[in-house]
Amino acid sequence: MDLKVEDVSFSYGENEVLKDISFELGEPNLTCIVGPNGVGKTTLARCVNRLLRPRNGRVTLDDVDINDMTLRELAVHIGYVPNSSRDTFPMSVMNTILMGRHPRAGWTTSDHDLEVVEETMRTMGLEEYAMRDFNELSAGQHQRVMIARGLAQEPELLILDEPTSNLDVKHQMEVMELLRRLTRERGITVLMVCHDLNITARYADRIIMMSDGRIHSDGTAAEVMTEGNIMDVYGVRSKLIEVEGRPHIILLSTLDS
Amino acid sequence: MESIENARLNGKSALQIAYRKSVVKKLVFMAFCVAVVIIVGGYSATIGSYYISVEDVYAILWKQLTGWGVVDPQAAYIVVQLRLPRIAGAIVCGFGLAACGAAMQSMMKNPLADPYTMGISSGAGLGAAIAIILGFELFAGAGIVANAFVFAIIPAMVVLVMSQVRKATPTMMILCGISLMYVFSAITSLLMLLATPDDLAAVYTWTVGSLSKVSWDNLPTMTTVVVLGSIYLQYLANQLNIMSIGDESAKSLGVNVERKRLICLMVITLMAASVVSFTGIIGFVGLVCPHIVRIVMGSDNKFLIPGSAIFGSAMLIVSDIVARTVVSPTMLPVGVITACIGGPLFMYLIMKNRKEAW
Repeated sequence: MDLKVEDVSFSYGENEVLKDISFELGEPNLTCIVGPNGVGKTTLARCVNRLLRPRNGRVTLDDVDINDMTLRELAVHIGYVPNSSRDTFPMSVMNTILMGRHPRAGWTTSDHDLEVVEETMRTMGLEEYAMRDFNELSAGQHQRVMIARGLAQEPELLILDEPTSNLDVKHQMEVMELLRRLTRERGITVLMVCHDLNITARYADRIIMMSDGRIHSDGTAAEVMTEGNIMDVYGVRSKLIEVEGRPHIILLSTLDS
Repeated sequence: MESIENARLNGKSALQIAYRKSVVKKLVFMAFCVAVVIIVGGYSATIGSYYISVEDVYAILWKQLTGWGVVDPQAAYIVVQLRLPRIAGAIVCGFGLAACGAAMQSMMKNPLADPYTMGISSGAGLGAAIAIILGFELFAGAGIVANAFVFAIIPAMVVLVMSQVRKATPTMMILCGISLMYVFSAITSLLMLLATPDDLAAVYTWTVGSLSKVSWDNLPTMTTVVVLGSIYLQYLANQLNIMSIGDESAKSLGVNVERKRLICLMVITLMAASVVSFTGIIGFVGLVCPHIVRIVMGSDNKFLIPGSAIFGSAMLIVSDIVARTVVSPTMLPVGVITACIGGPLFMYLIMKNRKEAW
């Protein structure tokens, strides 16, 4: 899988959110997009998945413009896990995850579909909720179901919009470990929008730090997570320490104070 | 710890079994509804001023279908020519409206949506009123039916035109349907001021819906549209499921939501309009049947659509019997009965149902 984002710009009306963004995703790894609120992280993720159409520039998947693909073709390659979701009508967890099979499955539910769903449920630790209604679950369980649905799609690229925002520390770490394992074991490329700098620094293979609609810096955790960059982008003084070979950010104060 | 490990080892088959089991449960419910339709339908054919026993009714139907057996020709005429069209009408009408309702609620992500939310019923009512009161027929000789049909599909056409200008979101569709509903009702009221008492009565009768106008002449048209439409909706069932979880998720799962929603709207409109223009406005079936069925067998449209459809047939056939017998020989409008049976039944189920169903 080879995804190229070339000079992508996007605006909501007059308000330009993305300005000439370019990057490439090649070999399977865990890439995190970080940056302050309103900087265009989610917008970028949506442009990559064609939920939004860039005003300029293009996104190609294995050298094919994603606009030339049908939504269904695209859904075979790219999975998307939204930040939150609620059913209008009650669906069991099982049926919700089964929807992930739609781009690949026929009209009927095959044993293979059930096997895939089952495996993803096991991966996400959701077996005991299989027949429960999606709406009865907690926020954290919701996010796990949504991730499971994305996995059931068996995509080459999985895009997640703040998948850990509703999870407690342990679940956050579990999800991050799982995502990283997926990149290693299944060769899936994971692109996620993330808010927590320490979690990102701990797990990401590559970090894209955004500032004001542009890519500020792009590289490994050690390259991107620097006191200078955090000051530049977030306007926050911090101190970096290294624990187990990974940078850890200790936040000190905002610039204003 | 051990039990968890066991569950994991056996989980694979257990989950598949659980899924297939839930499918069987749903099929049983549908089979039950089919049985109700057949039995009650047969019973319905015995009711009337000329008494025909239940066995005779089935003997006549058997003879009609296979050519086997000996039956009383007079009884056969009454059953086949006079009573059967009405029963078949109830089955087709209930089937169509309830299937439309189920699909409509999923694609609009709105539990209040039903085939009439789009202004189909008030459009049809206006068309009928124009034919009855003004004597104006869009297609000469086609009468009330053609007028009702054309006006019933106007809202969908308006939405289609508007969708060229801006995205057709469910909210936009519903608001558009409701505003047209008010416009149509207002014009109908205006026309009624001009009407003679006879015409007024005719318009009124039309707006409460009745199965008495269904005959072997108009049944095939109605049935064809309903059957084709239902097949298409059933084919779309998976996509309707996905549509109900939100546009963004749906798109990322490969469903072109906006286009599919418009196509669905057209199909549903055609189905509902073809039923309504022959029977008048029979309310409540399209709204409530899907909800009742959802309580019993969940929201998976693959089962919800056929389940609602069959349940709709059963409900309308039972309502029709009540309408014909409760103050016999006067026939009550069937729409009144569907509301009177359906409403309390629905409320009872809401109370009884502990799960938060919607």
